[in-house]
Amino acid sequence: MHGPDLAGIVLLLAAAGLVGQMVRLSWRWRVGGTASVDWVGGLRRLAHAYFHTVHEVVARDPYASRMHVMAAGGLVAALALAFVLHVGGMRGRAAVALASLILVSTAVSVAGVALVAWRRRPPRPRRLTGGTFNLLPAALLGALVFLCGSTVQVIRVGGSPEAFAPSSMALALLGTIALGTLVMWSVEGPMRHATAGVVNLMAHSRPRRFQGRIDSALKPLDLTGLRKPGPHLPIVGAVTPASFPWPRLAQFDACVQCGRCQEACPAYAAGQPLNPKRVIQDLVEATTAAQGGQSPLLIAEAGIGGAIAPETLWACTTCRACVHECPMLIEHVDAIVDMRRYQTLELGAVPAKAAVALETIRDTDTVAGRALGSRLDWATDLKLPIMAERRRAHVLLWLGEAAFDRRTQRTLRALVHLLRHADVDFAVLGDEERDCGDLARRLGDEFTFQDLATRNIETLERYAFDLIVTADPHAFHTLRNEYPALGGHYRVEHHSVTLDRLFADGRLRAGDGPADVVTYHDPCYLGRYNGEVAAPRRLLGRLGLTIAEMEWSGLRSRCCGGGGGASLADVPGERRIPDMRIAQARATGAAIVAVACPTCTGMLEGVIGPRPVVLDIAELALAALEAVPGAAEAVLAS
Amino acid sequence: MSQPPLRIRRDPRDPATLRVRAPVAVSAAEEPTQATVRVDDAAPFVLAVLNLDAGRLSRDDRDLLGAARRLADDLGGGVVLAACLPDGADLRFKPEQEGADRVVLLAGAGFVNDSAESRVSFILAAAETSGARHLLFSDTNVGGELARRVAARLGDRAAFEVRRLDAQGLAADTDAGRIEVRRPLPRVIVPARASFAPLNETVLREARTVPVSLGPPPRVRDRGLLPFDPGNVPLAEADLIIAAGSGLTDWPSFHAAARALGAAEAGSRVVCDAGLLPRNRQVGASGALVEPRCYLAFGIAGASQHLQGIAAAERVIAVNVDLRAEMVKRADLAIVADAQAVLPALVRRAAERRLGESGGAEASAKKRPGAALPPPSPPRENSWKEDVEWKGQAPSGPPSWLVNPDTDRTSYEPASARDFSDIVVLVSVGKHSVSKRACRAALDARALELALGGGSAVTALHAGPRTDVLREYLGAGADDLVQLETADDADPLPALAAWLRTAQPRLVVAGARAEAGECSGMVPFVLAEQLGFALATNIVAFEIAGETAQLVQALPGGKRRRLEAPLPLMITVDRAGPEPRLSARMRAARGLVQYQPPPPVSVDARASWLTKPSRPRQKRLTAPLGPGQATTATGRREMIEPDPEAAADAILDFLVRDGLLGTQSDPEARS
Repeated sequence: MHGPDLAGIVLLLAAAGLVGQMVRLSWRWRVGGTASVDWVGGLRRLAHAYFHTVHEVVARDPYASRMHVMAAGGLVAALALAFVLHVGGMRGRAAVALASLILVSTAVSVAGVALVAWRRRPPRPRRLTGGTFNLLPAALLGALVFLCGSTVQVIRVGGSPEAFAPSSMALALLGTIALGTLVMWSVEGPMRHATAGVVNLMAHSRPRRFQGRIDSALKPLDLTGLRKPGPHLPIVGAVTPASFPWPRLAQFDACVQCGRCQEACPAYAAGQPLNPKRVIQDLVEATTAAQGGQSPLLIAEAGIGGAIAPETLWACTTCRACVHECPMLIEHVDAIVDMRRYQTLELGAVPAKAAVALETIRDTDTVAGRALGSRLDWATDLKLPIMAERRRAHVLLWLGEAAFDRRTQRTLRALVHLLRHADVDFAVLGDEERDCGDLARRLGDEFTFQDLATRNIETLERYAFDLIVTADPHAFHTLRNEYPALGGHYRVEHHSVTLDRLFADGRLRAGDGPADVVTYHDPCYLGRYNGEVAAPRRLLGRLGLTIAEMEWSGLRSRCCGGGGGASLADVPGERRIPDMRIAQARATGAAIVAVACPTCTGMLEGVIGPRPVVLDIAELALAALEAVPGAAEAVLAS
Repeated sequence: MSQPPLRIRRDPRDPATLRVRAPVAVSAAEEPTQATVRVDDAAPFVLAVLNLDAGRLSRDDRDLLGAARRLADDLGGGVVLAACLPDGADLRFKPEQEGADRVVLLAGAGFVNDSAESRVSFILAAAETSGARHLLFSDTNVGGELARRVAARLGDRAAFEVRRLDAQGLAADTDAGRIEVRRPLPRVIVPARASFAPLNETVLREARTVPVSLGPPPRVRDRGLLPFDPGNVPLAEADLIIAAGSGLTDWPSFHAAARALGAAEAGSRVVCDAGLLPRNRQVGASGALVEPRCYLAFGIAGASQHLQGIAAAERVIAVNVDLRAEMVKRADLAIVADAQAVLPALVRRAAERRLGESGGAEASAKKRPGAALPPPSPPRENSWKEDVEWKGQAPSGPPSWLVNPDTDRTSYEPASARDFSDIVVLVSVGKHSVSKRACRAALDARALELALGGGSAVTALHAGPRTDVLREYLGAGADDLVQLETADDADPLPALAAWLRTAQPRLVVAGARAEAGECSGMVPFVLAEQLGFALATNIVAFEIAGETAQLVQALPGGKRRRLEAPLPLMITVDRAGPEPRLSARMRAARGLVQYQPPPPVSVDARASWLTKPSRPRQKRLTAPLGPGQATTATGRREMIEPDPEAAADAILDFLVRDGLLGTQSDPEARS
């Protein structure tokens, strides 16, 4: 064994530089709040997190996946082997074998870098970022030439190449420049996705994602101690980068600016002033500004500029399409809601219609501003069993805000007929049901959400039931995923799942209706938020309907534009989100858009011009049931 | 006098029919002779303050004269008719035929400018000269304000929302119609709108003119109307709205009709999405919620969201080709026809009949701009769509409390050491109309929002029992809150007056009326009187310069005028005031509240009042449909595919009857 040769010294310098850069990064994140991080667990799951969770996302774009595996995999392998060869000073036959492995790795990596460069050929796709990203192939190529050249030298010489030979000097210079650039870029530049990305995987705010589970529930704000008035209460919500725990800053820094979020974002597609990629970069820039003692405000306030326009914040439909697409596992929606919390709770700076909605929810416990006692007004003829009288039932039917809208009352009516026909033992809360708090929470009003949730949980605890069924995916998600943190643990089912089971068990039968072609619009809060894309499709199949899928469907479905209070904020854009969605539905040629959410129903039915009929799956199921000879009369009788 | 009481049915829709005594002149009424009735000067007089619409009696005026006549008969006295004619118009009715025993007029030279103050001094002089025992005002914007000013000057506890009235006393609604009060007659009385039938006088009366002399010139000075474009009136304030839906294609005729009728333009969501009208003209759940006296819908099908937006519209006229459209079902006058045919006919007939927007010679005399609407704003440049580069420019100028986390932004000096703000907002506890929960009072919230627009610190002031609901005003921007802890049912006025006298603010802002309690809207008037402040009502903008304040006042129908007033000043804010912001929870919790004991309690004038829960009453329609008009069973009128001219005439008749359209110049042209 020999000591490190000149190339080895360059590699050592680069490694030392990298260590230094990691220190700089951690210094940068020191701006953020404290967080308890399970480093051991993070390190243990790192490989799984990277090769499984991250690559599951990366692989959705096969070109990018191939490109990254070759370029990054080849480079990392070549660097590791070169370290052994040059720093370890390995010589002899083993060195030749090692060198050939290095050459193969660099060749693979060069092919990958070629793919990187090819992808960025003019005109560069809109979603990709330019700037230093355009120089990345050159820097990578330089590093690879250095690795390749120094390796060839070792083989050719058969021992340590002469340190001061011009060729060695030239290679070392090239290596220093190329590797130095890449190391430099690992704090401020394209390579930060690797350094910050590793930290993000270890210190991620939603570790359940690495167990292959969907983790979409918003984290509750700890309101204990905030309810008693007093002058020294802490500031809540995100106002500066310092408001985020430091791993969240690391997460923003991990952004590789691939633009997949931008492609998926319905608000961006509609020409609204929201680009999720830009939001994350603005957060990154605000972090940098906070280092330099400049205004770290995220949103402008009291005449002082901010990093992000308020319209951007309120254009978000919280559909999580960006989160679903992000290969770096960035949680855009969490950041948006954190910033909304500050705007709402500290400033009251919310769009006018959203302010009215929040006031209405605070004053009446409903979004529609109706008396709680009027929730069953539409169903007086149905004589729904009330929990307060029954005390127990198999199913608690959660009606939600749909009970106050004439259109969605038809959906509820259909669902009630179906449940009755299938002899399901169910009851409703009637005037004891309050809004689930979804809208208040997405608009940043955590107090109102927790007040509503706590009171709903108090009500629910009084009754015995096995299952909550609801036709509203927002209530479904909130009750199922967000109430547990406040002490309410319930089995909650979306009506598509319930109806699918009732048809599967033969308790409901579909008649021979017209075999219509339908297209199914996935509600975000059912699909992406809860992973349920199969049951509604199975159900439509059982009803004898053929599904023509839209351009964006399933887990990658496009939002209707109604989530997260975005329809209240009504941020102007070039197009309307529901118009775009209906255009996609129309393109399938289907006569019917099947929906499974009252919000989607309202948004899609609000589209004017020729369009497919918008029907909830409950309405379609009832129609199929009524096609069974004699069933219609039975339904009427019930 | 010993005749049995006559039972007069005031309103077939109102179950609360009134029992009144036979009028003094009943014998004269039964005789066909036209002898003039004379009332002695020593008799008790009732003074009715009329609004007049360009010299003519408005419907409210007729109702008021009816109430005044009956009260005067009951008292065995006469009626004094008092009216202001600011624009130099003549009386266009005969007072002797309208039950007036005396007439007091303020016209021409009597006006320095049309200010409420000069009207008040005129009314007070009229009351004194004629020896009027009671003063009746109509429940309109102008009448209500005059009543409150006069009552404050007289130190009288006025009665509002009066439902029944006789010599023994009156019954009035308080607490937003929840409580009925029976009390002795005060001097100032405001009958509830449309609660008293108009007079049907058959005898001639003396109508002797009484001269009056005016008091000092007003402190609040009129600085003239702001440019007014009826098409662009804020939708929430517009009395008459003309709205277009997707069924409308003839936009020039639409704009022309809006100009001809003096109506505010509005559109459905579809129309605004398409950029045919600006976004702020959108009506519906996601746009403006409007409450016009009449809503004309052209080619609007009536999606449920749109109907929510017009739920509070008094009348709806719909023109639509589809008989089954929801809007047609909602309409009081439904015309099943093509909007493109009706609109030009409407413009033509309005011109032929010389009909135009009513009320206010100044507005109709003013030349309106040719194009009612600004061109749709160009699509916004999406600069944010540009590529993300690595080096962004950092915003500059950090707020000190953000950069230095040790700075305690929330600490306050002790209350005693702190000067109170120059601007004080009177705030109260409201009651939500649906849930009945305590919340911010809507008008007080607007008052605070207006005050905050001044840019300086604002103190919120409340007198009443301790409640955390008031913190919502801190959350909505007030810098501190002073709460004078009076008992639940105590009169807040002495406490407020005493505090304000000590604090000496330069500007006091108040909501026009409370949502719970007596709801008389008297508080700002009485306070201003007691403190010697000038007072201006319905202010939508202000600016303090030196010792005067420049104000913008909202007038009915969305007009605005400039006022100049000396400080210290009291201003009130009504529905035209700025939209209040959301109350921020943390700001509310952090804000400073000072609790202070109230001054010694004085005797409450309300001790002698009797209260009971009020019965719900159906409102009388503003104008019953005239005889001979085909109506459906529910009082609606439908016209299926009529001749466009006939449809236009029906619409115009409708608007004329509701007082939304008047003849432009020739008084005789009115049918």
